Amino acid sequence: MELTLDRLTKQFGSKIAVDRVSATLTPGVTGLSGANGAGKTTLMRMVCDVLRPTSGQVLLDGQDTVEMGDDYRALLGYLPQDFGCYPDFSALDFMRYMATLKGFGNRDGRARSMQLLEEVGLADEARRKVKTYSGGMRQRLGIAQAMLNDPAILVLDEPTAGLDPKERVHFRNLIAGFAQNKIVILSTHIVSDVEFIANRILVMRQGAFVLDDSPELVVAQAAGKVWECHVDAHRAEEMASGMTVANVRYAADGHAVVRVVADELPMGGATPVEPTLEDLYLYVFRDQVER
Amino acid sequence: MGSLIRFELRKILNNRAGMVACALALVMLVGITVLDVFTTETYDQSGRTCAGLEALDAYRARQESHAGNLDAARVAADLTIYDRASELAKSEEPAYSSMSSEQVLDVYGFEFWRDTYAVLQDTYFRRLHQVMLTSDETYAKDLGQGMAARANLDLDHGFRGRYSYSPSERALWQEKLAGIESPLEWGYADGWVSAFNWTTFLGFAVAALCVALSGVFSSEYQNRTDSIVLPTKLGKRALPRAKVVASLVFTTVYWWIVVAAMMGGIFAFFGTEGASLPVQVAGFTNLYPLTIGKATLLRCVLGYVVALGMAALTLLLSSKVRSAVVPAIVPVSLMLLGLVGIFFNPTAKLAGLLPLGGMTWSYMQTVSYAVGPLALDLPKVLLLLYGAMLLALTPLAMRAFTRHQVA
Repeated sequence: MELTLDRLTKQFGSKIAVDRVSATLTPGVTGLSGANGAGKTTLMRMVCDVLRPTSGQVLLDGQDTVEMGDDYRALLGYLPQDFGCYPDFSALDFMRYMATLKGFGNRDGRARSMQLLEEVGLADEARRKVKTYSGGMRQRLGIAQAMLNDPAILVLDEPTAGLDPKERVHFRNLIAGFAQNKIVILSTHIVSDVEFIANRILVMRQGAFVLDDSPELVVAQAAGKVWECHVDAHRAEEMASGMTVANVRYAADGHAVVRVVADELPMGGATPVEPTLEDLYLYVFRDQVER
Repeated sequence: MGSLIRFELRKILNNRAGMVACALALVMLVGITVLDVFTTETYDQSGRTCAGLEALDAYRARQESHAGNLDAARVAADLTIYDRASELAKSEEPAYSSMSSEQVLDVYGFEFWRDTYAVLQDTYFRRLHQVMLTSDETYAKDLGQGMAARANLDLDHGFRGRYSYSPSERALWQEKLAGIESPLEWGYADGWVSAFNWTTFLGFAVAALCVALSGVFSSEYQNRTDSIVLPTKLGKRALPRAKVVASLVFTTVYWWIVVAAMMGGIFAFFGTEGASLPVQVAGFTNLYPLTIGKATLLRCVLGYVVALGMAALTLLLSSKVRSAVVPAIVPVSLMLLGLVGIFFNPTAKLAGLLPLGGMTWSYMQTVSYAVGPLALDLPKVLLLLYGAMLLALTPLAMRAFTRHQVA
């Protein structure tokens, strides 16, 4: 199965939100990363056929997904970044409604709904109204509805927003198991969401892909660009305001270890360290990072 | 599809503002008819003023006293009674005209009251006199001739004195007039007359319906559920259809509940007798060859088609905008414009095509529209207009939702 993005473009007035992006996605987890406003959500909406491209196509095994219509959408599962629910529905009602929309009959829809609510830890709260749910509970409900139809293509936009670390780990494992023979596109700012499970990383900037490779090769772009500096606390504060600092760790004796992302040695005595995906992100978007 | 329709119905019922509007309209419509009963005042057969249920009994007794065929002899006899009453009353002017029923009784006694006040205040005698009096102050030969003369005068004068009737419209109304049975049968039919008149206000139920349906599509945009429902297998085809079906089911059920509640209230007080009497028991200037029962039911059916058409307009607006306010305000504004517009001559005929205006006049007034040789009375025009709205606008609403872009 191949999902091809063929020179996809989306323009809103004079602003180009997605600029002729092309990629072929195969089964596995593709992490989609980028700063706010990079075009990730717009891209995902076009993939999910809820936003018409200005030009370009999305093709599934060579077929235009817009022309496929219902047949394509039957293969989709989508968790938008900022989705709503029906406040007066219970979680179970909501899931049953979504199951109906995804083509389930009453009995099968109910069973599948309960199964997924169990999977995301909401089975005990299934009969509560969604309006009483916390943000994290709503997010888990959103993940559950996206997976109802065991979609061949799962698109998740910031799926772990509002989840605590334990829930995020559970989610990661869920997706990793799910993505065996499915195409999963996962857009996130939380590096750990994709660092361990993605087969491929797409980094988007100003509507275009600037990096497209396996996590190892993507991270390798930042090789030799990440440094550790041992300084006093006062100097650490100065560095934080003048350089791209990934992390500052303060010790009780006033000493600090500063992790800096820079093309060249930031100061005498700095030692190069192995980059992480987060370092890579900071490196790519260093001109947009607040100092 | 059945499950989807049930879910969509549930979403409509979860619209609190809509349900409050529907409940208020229902309570108001039943309430005003009941209130009308208890605020009714008239005089009974002994001349005493009475109110409420006693007044209904007095009206009934009066109407039943006039029951029978209004042939030439009967009409002539009744007009003689009326003329005598007028002369007697004139002889006591100017004092008489400002007196109440009790005052006439006190001053002149029961016999005088019976021969004057009881006749001159009786709607039957007043209407009969009005329709039978010709332009040269003589009476027509019979009721048929009287009604024809009155009708021709109105047709010559034009609707509201402003809108002339074309030859095809005149032919239309002459044909209807010729279809009225002769001699007319008279009797008690106050329940049906009351229902016939009060169906005008069913327009407020239409307004409530529009509020209830205003969020059918727009709430998906407002609540941001569009992004999860649209990219599903049924999200762009079956879902919009289910929304429309659920909306029309809700419209149908609510409409007939309101009609039943209103009629039920009216008939509980007035009774259901007289359904087969001619609609002219509601007014001799009515040119429709229908029974009062049929005319009342036709107004309810017409109102239902108007409700469906307005529901379709609301759905179209709802599919186009993010807010549920606009799809509610526009139809409600059209309703109110219709109610106000019929009172102003320049806008009257146009306002007659709007829901409240149309329902005020349908099967009551001599309102018609012509395009060349084709002339249609107001009810037919409304049926065509709102039927066309239903057929044309619901597919457009579905299409707009299907093509909605989540941005």
